[in-house]
Amino acid sequence: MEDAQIIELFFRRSEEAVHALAETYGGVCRRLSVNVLKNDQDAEECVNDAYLAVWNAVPPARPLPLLPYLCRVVRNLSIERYRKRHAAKRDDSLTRSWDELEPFLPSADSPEAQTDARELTRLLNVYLERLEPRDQLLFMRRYWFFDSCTEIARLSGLSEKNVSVRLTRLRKKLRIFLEENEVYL
Amino acid sequence: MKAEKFSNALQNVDDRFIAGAARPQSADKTIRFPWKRWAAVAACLCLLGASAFAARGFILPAETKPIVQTAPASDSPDGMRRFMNWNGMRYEFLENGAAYQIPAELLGDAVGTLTYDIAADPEANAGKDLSTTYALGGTVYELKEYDTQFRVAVEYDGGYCICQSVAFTDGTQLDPAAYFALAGFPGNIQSVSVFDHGGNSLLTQLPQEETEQFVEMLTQSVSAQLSDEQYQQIGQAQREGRSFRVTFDLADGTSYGFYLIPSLNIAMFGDGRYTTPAEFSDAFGAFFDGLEQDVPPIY
Repeated sequence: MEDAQIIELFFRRSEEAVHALAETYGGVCRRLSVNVLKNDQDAEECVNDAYLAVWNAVPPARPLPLLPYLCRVVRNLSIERYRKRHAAKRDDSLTRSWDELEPFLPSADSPEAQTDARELTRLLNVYLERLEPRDQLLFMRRYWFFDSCTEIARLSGLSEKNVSVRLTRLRKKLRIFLEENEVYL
Repeated sequence: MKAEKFSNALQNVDDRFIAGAARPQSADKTIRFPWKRWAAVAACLCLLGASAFAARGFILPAETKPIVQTAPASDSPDGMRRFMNWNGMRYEFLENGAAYQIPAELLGDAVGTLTYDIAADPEANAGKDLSTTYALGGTVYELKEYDTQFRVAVEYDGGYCICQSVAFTDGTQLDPAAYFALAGFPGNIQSVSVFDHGGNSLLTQLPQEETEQFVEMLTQSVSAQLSDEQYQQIGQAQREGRSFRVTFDLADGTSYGFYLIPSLNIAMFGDGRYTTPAEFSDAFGAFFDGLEQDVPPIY
């Protein structure tokens, strides 16, 4: 079903709306949530909470395209639940991807020197725009969707080693880019 | 933690980056080649192909037409490589899924239909036989002139793609000696061309009399277990113009391409990385040393 048709179902407050959403995008949402939470039941609850959040937001919101909007909601809810349930460091996709990035992110000397989130988002759009499509895919699947290198290798047809090496290069490029643009976190 | 702040900012990047990575364009969308635009080009290619083969004295029967590329591939919108899995092997779509005109006499039996869409559900489908990232619903055919472990054809959207094996689906790399043999090398190689790493500029061609030795030595390459440092050296070689795209130009009008970094004794056949024998450097090192290419721009 097309996004506009699904949105229309939400506007009509039809019960079919959530069903259509789940049928069209449920797989992507579950995979994202499982990557963060590493627990099918938790992920299922998160995804259902996301559907409810969309039900409450639409209308008046009319998010088109729908998939990125829905993915953001799922990601937010999943990370929030992760933070609440995992105060101690865990060895999982989310912490591994954050641990990979940490050394490549320039540090601010003081809170006042930190780049604000909106500006960082703007610059990340520039960074991503300059990447080849394949590198965009690898970067987003790793740091937005928290896929493991194994999963990214299966998705892209590259070897796991190749994925790992490419991501290393992308992190180095990112660091250079952030430093050139005086971004500090 | 800096990475968490980064992650929060990444959350709000443009929708197109999220959508592009979330759900790559489904392979069942019909990609229309601009046939009208390319029809004239195809006619020229046929003529060129025929005259070139007449000059070379190719080994196919005189009445067999060469395989001609009739349309280039459209860009993969999400950057995902176009490949499919069949019978324990991974096959890459040649020229990223370009359309070829394959004479009927070269087509063998149909062996299956590409059924499972890897992009739609990678976890479920990536390991399945007849899974693919492109040409979903296409029919896989044997090619009579080739062992199926080298190449097959896929009929899709009114044309044919050629799929060339790059690895086994269990991750095992190809064995150059066995692979070259079943591909028919060197017997079906008309010439060996050397391009820059991007494959855009033809730098030179190997003297024809050296083809057999060149191929024979490459078959002695062994699988390389590369360290991170060696991967970085490969990247550096690519940036410095020391990596070359080499093609075996075949009798049927197609070519088999791979990468060579002679300064590092590295060859890349399919998805594998191999160490070339010392004799290869001795024999052909100087041939590559003199080749200069424009280095790619650095980000």
